Amino acid sequence: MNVENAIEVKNLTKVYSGFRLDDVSFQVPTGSVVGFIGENGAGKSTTIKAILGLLPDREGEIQVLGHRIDNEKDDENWKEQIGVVFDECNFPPELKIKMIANVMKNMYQTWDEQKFADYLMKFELPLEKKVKELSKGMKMKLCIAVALSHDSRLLILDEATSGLDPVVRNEILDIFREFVENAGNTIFLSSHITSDIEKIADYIIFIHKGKLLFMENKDDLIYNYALVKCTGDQAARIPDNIIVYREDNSYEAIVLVRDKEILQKGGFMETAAKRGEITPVIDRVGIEDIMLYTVKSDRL
Amino acid sequence: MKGLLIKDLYTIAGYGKQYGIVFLFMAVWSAVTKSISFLTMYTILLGGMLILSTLSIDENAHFNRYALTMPVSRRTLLIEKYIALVLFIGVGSLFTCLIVGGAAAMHLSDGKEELVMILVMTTFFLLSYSITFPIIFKYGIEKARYIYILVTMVMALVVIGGASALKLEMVSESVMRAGIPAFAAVLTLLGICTVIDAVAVFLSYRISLKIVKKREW
Repeated sequence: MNVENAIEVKNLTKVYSGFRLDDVSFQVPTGSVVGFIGENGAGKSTTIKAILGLLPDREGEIQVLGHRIDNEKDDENWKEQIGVVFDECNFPPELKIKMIANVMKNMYQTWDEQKFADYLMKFELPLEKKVKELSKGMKMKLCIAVALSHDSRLLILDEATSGLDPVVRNEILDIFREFVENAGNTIFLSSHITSDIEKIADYIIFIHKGKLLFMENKDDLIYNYALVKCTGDQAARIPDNIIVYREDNSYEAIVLVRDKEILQKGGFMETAAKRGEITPVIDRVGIEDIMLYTVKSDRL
Repeated sequence: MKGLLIKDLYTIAGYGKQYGIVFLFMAVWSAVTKSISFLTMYTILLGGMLILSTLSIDENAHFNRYALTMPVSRRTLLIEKYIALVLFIGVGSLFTCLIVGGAAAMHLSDGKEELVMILVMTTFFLLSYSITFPIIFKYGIEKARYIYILVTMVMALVVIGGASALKLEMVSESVMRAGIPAFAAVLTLLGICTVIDAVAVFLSYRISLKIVKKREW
């Protein structure tokens, strides 16, 4: 199947008491890694549930690998091509890994026993071990091995790296990189660990309080956004339309801007120099800064 | 479907030792008290308890949500649980028949009364689980467990009260007086029980399906 977007979400809305996922629309281009970020309770898991068809009574349209998600229909063959990993291992704790292999062989028509065996060897997962005897990292590796051992074209990962130590997280990110190297494979990765997303994602989708704030190319985002440290007077000269967040304290102002080129082309630094002011600092920002200051700006 | 069923059988096998010990204890107790009926009832009850265990383990591991990300529909997920219910109680009943047959072969009992008991108990437990299953899928196993106990108690009271009001001993005597062979009477009872079970399980499945289709996982 060759579709332009692995996932298409249009006007997704779901209302709970006290929370509303509000008119969310985005596309996940085929062959890309898309990081889905937002604080806890922002609506990441609700969106993923909707994509997986686990959320009845929602509004909007969703297509995954060209298949329209319709909770009323029982057509499930399209799921042969997706691999899903949640933030916990969902196998019954008494099951041994060799039992899981046998169960999965009967779940997926496209189950590849050899591939699974190879992953088990690569991850050093013993067949005789029970799920309850595995460490958190090993459990996640087991779930990733399952997700990759059938005809998966799209990996959907909901906080799959949370709770893992940096070494294991790095190993897992390497596996994801390997997966996406195959043409046409796509990863949709939700996490509040922004460093993981920064390492692997091509695009970033940011959701906050049930609303989609932006979907941007990660490199553009990191290139365009900047944190300006300057005086209050200098901050006042920054155009309002590029300010995401401004914080004034007794000795400086911190301003997150969404387009540092506008600032530079507008002569921001030169004006400060001409006036003999303290030189402002324009710092590069990471995804975490962007997320933190954007959330802060909403709380003002 | 097959994968789900295999998963449930593995899950139960994982707890096989615990269930085996409990069964052994009940068998010894039954032998000491010379009550085959007690073991009969308990074995079928154990079959039903196995399905509650698998539901509970699935719920704690959030397995159903995970299974629905695989090529498994909500309908398949549900049908498998009903098949497992009938299978586990069925195997419990068949196993009980073997115990009763063994006891009859050793002249410990004539087996007729126990055979009727097996039929009644199988129907009783299938009916009670059929009532409870939609509640399990609506509210989760932990809340439903108490409701199951309540349903079983109410049903037991209804059965005992009904049997007393209908004067079943007199029915039994009438059957014998009418010259109906015991085998034919048991076959008739089997037919009635099968119809009751089939209707109960089917209605329960239809209600559960409506619940499961609307459920967020």
